[in-house]
Amino acid sequence: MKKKQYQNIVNEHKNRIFNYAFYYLKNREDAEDVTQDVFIRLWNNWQELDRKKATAWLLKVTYNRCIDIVRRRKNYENRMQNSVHYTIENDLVSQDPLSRPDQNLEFSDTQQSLLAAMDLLPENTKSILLLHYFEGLQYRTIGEILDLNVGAVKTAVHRGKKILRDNLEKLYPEMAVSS
Amino acid sequence: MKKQCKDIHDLFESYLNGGLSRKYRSEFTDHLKNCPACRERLEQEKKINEVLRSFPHQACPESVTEAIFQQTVHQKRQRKAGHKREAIPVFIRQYALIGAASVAVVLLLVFHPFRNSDEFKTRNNQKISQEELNTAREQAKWSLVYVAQNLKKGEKEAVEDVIMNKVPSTIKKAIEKAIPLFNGGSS
Repeated sequence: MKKKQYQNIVNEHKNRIFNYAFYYLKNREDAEDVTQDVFIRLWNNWQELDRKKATAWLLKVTYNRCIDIVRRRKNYENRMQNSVHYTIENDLVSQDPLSRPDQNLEFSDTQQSLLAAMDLLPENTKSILLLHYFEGLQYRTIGEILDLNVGAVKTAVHRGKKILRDNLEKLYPEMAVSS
Repeated sequence: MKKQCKDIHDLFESYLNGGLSRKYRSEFTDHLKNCPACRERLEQEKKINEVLRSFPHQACPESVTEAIFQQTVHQKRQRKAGHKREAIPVFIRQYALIGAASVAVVLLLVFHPFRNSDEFKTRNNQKISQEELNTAREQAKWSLVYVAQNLKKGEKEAVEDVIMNKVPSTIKKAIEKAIPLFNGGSS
């Protein structure tokens, strides 16, 4: 019974978790690792889980794992920048996941610009925008995932959009308004 | 930008989500009719929302799904079958620690007091050679290192308590000498 229910939940949510992690981390391998880790945690915490809230639980664990990876990356980048072997060229190549040939994903110029602008958002805000627009979740559900009240989520969306618009104008002045 | 424009911008998100109340809607649409800058800004806002919703969705790779099931539903079956065998290493590990600790303490108690004597005897008056003594000391030292490296925080505190309060001072000195080894030093 548990096995069947678990498999159903994995099959129902795996694409959502994978895509959320992918757009959050902008790296396919990391997204795969996160997806695997999240569902193994689901299995290990099956007894404590409220199945009605499985979506929120899964996205919460995914968000926490993504944050861990982002922090680890920042530490690594700091170490690399202090290293004598560091070169900006190597760093740019390793951080450009959208150019990976095996992904078979095509992004329009606007999408690429927006993804670049999203990278400059605070982690929490970026997550809220992805959950609301990309995952299509309501403010209430996002609040459950991130332990915030509805008002705080609304404010974060509003503020996030403003920062995003400002970033877009700075990065791509030609896109502003007329795009 | 007029103050009224800023207030209108704050309503964009609710308007685009269809959540703007009737009370504000007429005020909102009236303002837009007369404010080209806000109309343009609303278009930009719509565009950003559309793009945010338009990122391509991809399927989670099958290899990931397989790996998940391998480590969960399929693993469970293997674990059940091998349950007794898996329990043994934990059991052994616990007893190995206790064993190593006992060996260390016993060897130190037996041999250490005779360190500076010309003739080495155990408490049972059994004569031992210098070589045997050295081997015993080495064994005691490395047993302590092994124990120290494998203890958990609470266990370490318990061991420290025993060492500080129950072990003779000669043994304490021997342990102090072995402490650098805990951190990977050499004897």
